[in-house]
Amino acid sequence: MSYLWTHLPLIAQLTGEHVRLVLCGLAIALAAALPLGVAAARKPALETPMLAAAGAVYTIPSLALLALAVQYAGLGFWSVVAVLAAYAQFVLIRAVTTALASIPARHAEAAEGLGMTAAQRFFRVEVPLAMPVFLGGLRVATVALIAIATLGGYVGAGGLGTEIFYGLSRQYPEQTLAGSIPAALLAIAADAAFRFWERGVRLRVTE
Amino acid sequence: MQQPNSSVRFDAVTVRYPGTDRNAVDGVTLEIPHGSFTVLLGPSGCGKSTLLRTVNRLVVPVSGSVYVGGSDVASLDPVALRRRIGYVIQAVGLFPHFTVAQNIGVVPSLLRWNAERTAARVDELLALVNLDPDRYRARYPRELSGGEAQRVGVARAIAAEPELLLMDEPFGAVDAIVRSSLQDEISAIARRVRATILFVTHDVDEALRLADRIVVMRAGRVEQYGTPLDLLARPASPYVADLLQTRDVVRRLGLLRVRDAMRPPAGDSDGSIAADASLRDALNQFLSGAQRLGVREAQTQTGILEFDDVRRALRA
Repeated sequence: MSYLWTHLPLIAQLTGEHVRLVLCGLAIALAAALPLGVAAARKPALETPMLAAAGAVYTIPSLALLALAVQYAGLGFWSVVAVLAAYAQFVLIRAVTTALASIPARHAEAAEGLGMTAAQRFFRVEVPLAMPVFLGGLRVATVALIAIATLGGYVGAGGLGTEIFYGLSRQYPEQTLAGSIPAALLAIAADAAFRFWERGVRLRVTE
Repeated sequence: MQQPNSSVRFDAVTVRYPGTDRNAVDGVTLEIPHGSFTVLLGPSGCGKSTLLRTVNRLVVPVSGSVYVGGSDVASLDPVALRRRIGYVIQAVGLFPHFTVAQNIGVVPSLLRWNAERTAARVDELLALVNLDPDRYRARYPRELSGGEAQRVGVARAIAAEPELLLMDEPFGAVDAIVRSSLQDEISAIARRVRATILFVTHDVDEALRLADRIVVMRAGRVEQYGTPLDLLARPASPYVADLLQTRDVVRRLGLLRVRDAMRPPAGDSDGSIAADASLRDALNQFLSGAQRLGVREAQTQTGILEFDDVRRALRA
């Protein structure tokens, strides 16, 4: 493991790039999935085709999706971000629809009967009550994106994948591990952080 | 509400839910006077909750109109309408992420009351529903018992001083002892707030205990509408008689003595009755128009009796 210890500054830099890829991918994914998910929850007729389309993207191997993205966006950061955003759609849209469906009818009825407008019902009641279930979906998506973002090393987008692919091509397992171990730790840390957040939010909305 | 009038009028109201082949509410016409405590009574599926929900436009009739204080609710903004009408549901529906104080303050905050006015109102209401404000205002719904939660639900419904209060089986989910004390409290609150109250229940005892007027419903129609006295003494159909078990009630009244139901003498009376007469005899006098009977025993007046005393005796 001497490679890892002698290259700590590099690994730290790559970890930073990796996090940046994932955060950008997630941000764009959320910008699309939140409105789509809310629309699907409101109009059940939309839900099936929307999930079918997002599910089809989800089944494409991420490497193949990346090859496609490179055709349009070229090598580098934005291709990887596009793949991450597309790949997360299925999990995130479904997280929004199940989260909104998990709200007990009595809260929606009380909110409406007390005279909240549709926007007030959504932001004051539905969003807080939907949070625990939604965060579960966001956690799954984040962990998956941390793994997929290693593909960035393949197309010059940086991140921990760089070490993995160099190590593979040079048949130098220590360098591969110097990329894969921090990536795994990152995923484990993200999972733990989301679970902690989820538990806090769930406690707040327990009756 | 411009004029202090929160009467409710149903004019040929018919409701049919999509995908069903019969009317949930079928041509109901009713006048609910301002300030009354009116109970909609009937078995589940008779349309009583649906009829109630047309008042705050949670349900929209396919034909007919509902008027609150003389205005057709279809012509009013539903959000503004609902903020003027208190609404309590069996499932309570307190918001779990709000404290008790925030739950009670929901409508005041929607109406943009300032913080001090809302806080003062919350404490006043907690005291009104017999919950110590200092102990309860910062709690979350998960820290309340079923009875406490429904007290908060009632407080939330009347927070912005509505002149009309809709209650949909509010005490259906709490145990019998708690239900009984909640019923006493809601009677007391009804007298204090002087709102018109429309109260849905399938519990006959609850209806007899609380109502000034009872609407008996069956299969979406009004079977009979009258005072508890009317219904007990003159059920309009075998259905009403069965539902209220009026024969049992009248028989029980025959076994109870005036002496056991009367209160100490006070004020005027418009009739008289012997202390050892049965309450069935008293009921007959109330039916022929008496309001308040002086109770005689050996030529002296020893008490008075009103219809409410007969009602109380039935519950004992």
